Amino acid sequence: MSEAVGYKENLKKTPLYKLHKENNAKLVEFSGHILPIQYETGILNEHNHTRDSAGLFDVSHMGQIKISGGLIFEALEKILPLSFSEMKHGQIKYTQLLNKDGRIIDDLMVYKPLNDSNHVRMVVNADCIQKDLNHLSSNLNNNFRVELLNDRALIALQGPLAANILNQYIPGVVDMPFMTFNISIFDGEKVLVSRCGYTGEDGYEISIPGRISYSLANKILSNKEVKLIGLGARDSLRMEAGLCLYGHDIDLNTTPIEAGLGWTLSKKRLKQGNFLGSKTIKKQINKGPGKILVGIKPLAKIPAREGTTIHDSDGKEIGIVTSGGYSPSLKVPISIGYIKVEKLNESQKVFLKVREKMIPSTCTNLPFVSHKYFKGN
Amino acid sequence: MSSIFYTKEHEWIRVNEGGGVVGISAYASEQLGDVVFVELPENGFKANQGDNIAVVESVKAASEVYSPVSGEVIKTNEDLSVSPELVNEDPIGKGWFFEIKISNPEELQKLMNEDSYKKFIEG
Repeated sequence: MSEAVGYKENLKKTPLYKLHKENNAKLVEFSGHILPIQYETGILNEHNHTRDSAGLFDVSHMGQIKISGGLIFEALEKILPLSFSEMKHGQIKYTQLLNKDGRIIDDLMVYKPLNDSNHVRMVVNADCIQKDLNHLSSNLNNNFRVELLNDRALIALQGPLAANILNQYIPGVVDMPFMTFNISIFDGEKVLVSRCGYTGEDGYEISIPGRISYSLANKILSNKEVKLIGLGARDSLRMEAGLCLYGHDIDLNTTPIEAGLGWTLSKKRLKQGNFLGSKTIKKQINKGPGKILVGIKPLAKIPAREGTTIHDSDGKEIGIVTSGGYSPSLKVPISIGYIKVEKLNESQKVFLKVREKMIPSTCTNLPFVSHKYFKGN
Repeated sequence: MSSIFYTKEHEWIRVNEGGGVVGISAYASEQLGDVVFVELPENGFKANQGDNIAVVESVKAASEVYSPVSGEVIKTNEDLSVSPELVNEDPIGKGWFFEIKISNPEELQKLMNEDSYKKFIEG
């Protein structure tokens, strides 16, 4: 048995650090922050609770960015494979920042403002904040202001009961369509509520001033249907939902086409072909990618984690697992990984090499557990 | 009479006549979190003290288990293949891993008794 990893004291604390301490979280270092891997009842319980009821996550480590300036949509469309004119005000899109080779600098959420104002908000991965700010600043001229909103917390409330619970404190959120946001008032201050998440469940992410985030979190947690959920369950939930994790399933070596994210690219913008990376992306769409991200189910109980190699029946290496572990909902191990397209044979049978053993496995479509996003009342 | 010894790596061995039953400590199972898979050695597997002998997988990660003594595996806990959660529920009882025929009982002197182990984990 090897020792569990602790954390160094020079890391950043989120505005909800006190809440984690009070709830006996097992704290770990994550993306330069001290965050809970789990609370007292453990990852399996937290995972199942989110799927059955509602879970509250502190995701304040994520980067909340605001970009302001005249003609902002035109400027951002040079960087992003998005068509702002095809988005409604108050709509959110999942997209990627791409480099000139069409490879993924980061994946992110982009918020089109509620009215004709000249600013766009983004939520980006914690580990990529500096890289994203540099990329944005170097691709936007000096007329634009790129700000990191450091004083805000981000709380996610996910699960089938999330809507009715949050509606008690922020009325109206039950009627919000999926992938939209709104500005509401809590404790006399503006909060930005978006109906989205990273679990495959219905739910919300609430951007709130750090100093009142503890108060909102505790109000929500006063409902016995809500439990605090740590990063451990966040990872197993997103894996079941087939959602990519930056730095693992997608990175500077992968394109959106390889990652199965082609559906997130605007068709209109692809046709125009004038965003960063569009040349490579279009070429890859026409020719087909060399590798593709798939779901894999080992036909044994042994989990195949990140870095596990994927083999064909002759033992030849044909790919690699980028995320893998155990699915609490399906009660079997699951993995996500890249396989060479020419090796994806009809039977979809592959082998995962775990500790020198070849585990027979099946490729499957993602997600492993179907999404339950809000589709309207 | 049986006595229990612990390693610094948080395995325990309960010594009986001719053999020892091995598992991981309550502290270790707590640190690991929910156990979802245990890879056990085959009967007849020979290990030296400190060798990798099993793997315990929690939702979070895979961890190696080291043999507390040298010897030969004579029995494994079949129940763990169906109910790996026994490692969390009853780590030093029903959550045992395997039984080993101890080849060199003197090695037990390098291990900690229950009191020393308690002090060790309290640090």
